[in-house]
Amino acid sequence: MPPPERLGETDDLELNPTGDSAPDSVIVSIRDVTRVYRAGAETVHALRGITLDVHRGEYLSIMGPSGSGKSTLFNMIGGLDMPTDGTVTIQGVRLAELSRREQARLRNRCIGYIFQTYNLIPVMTALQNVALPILLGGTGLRESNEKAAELLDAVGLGDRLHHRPEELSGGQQQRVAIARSFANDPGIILADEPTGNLDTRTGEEIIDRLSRLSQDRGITIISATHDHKMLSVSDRVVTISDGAIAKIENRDDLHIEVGSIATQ
Amino acid sequence: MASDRAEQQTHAPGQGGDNLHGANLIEQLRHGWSPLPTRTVFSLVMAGLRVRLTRSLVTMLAVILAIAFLTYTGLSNKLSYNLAVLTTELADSPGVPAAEVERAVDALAALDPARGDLPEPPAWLGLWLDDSPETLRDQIEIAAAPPVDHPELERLQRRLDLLLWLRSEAPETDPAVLEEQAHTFLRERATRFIPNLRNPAAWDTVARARADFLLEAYRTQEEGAEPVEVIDRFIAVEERRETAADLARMLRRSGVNIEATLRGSFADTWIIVMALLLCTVGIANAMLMSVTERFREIGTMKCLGAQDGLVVKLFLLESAFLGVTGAVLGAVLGVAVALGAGLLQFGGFTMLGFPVFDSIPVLGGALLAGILLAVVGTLYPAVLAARMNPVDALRIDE
Repeated sequence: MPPPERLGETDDLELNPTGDSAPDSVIVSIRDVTRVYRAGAETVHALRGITLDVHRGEYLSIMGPSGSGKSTLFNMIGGLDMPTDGTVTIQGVRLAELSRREQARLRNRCIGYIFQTYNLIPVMTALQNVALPILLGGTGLRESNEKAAELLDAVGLGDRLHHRPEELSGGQQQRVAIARSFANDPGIILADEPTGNLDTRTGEEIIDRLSRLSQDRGITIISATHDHKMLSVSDRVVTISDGAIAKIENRDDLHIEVGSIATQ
Repeated sequence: MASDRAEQQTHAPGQGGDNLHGANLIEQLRHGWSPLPTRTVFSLVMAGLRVRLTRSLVTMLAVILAIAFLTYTGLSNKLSYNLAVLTTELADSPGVPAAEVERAVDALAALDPARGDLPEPPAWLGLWLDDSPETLRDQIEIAAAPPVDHPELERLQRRLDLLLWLRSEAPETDPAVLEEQAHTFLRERATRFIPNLRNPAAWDTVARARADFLLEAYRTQEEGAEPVEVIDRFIAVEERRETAADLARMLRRSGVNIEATLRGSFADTWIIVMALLLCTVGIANAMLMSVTERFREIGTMKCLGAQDGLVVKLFLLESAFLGVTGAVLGAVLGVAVALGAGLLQFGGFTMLGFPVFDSIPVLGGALLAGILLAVVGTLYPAVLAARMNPVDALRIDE
């Protein structure tokens, strides 16, 4: 294994093929990633060679019908799944170079997750849920709780600290999940259909909060979504089809398209 | 730690978040990382147990019942064994030679018991002078109802006779004098029981009480002391044999085969093995369930950065707690049930045969089995869950 310094240098060279941005402005880089699942005798090619750079501070949406490989790509970016072939580099670190232990730390420190089904720990209060990633990062109990309380206050749940998930509405649970995803000041937030289980108004509120938080803190947001409201706040939208990138639209293209949909 | 990060954060000024890059990030992922403090882990486990109270209690109940069953089986096996040993010992007690008994009885027959200091008449001859003849008659009637050979019957009849006789002798006598007279009467009457000594094997409770009374009277005389000692020994052996017969009957009734138990039968080993297997299955199942129903939670925790080791540790701590508590409670319950069942089957003999020091390996084994099974039963699914990809763990039960 090469020493870390060398690794960083070579990565920087590899990671910047387009040359249109400073090396570390690319926060997630995916190179020729394929993912093959074996379901019994059948082989499923979920991803067939995807190359994509996500820039720091960007709001990127990934679209695609179910079965298109959207979720697989999404999980790749989040370090939740490993590619069959190709490289995933997060903040200049190739995931394959990390041990399981280090991958867990990377998830803890660098990435915040928001799920469609909220995935709060049911036996923990809102405060404990938000404090958990901070605790897992090695911070003491009291400090973690203080920070968790601040974060919950920031998403407007300052008066629900000691409620358990089952005592909260869907929107409130997703706000707890947002607070949790911000807990360790990650560079990247991964949001998997964050509004999928919410009604339109609550969904809009969640999107609002998310984009405001990302702008305030300069956090990169990567979300998988069908939600047009969500697309309209995106800087770029990547459409996945049949395991490959079908198109990448930037914000300006998008405004026209969404606008046209909205006026129809 | 937060300030360290802030210092190292050289790129992208103005952005919040942990923006270490490349080598710097690797450096931080490899080093400068403190594990979750044990206290925090412990409080996480305890919070989980408290909130999932019903689940925890059901799991613990499985451990309790399994260990109680194991303890009970072990202890009652030991109890049967001890009682079987006791039975054999009692039955095998060396007897007093018949000739020696014969000589002692002859020696006693030559003495007059009334010359000694007669003790108070025993309770079976007791005299309740405030009992009215009517009360006694009622009692006799009750006692005479089937079965007619009620042992009380003779006693009551005697008391009635005595009472009527005393009343007829001196109807106006003061009760204290009456009592004194009654005692004198009884002492005289008791000396007539001497022929009973000839056949001690046939004694019933009443006969034995008579004999004791008589022997007491002989014992106070110089010549009587030695023959009485012989009779005493004889009686003791008889009693032991009788006890052995009682015990053997009780053991048989409880389905214990004395010879087989003493040999250490295959059936007893089989029962213990079965109990152990039941424990294993019950506890392992409970633990397996409590892990598998939380796969999703584990997936979430792994997404948040929980190490494989932490997931395993959380579950092991939880199961160790349930295992220890359940095993202790189960052992207590097992002892109580074994004791209760013993008392029901063998009455007072339970106390003679109940394993005290023998129970230490049984209890120790049961406790160890409970804790070990709980931990081992959790280990496999917990390791499995911990090694899962977070996505796979999340996908389950969705």
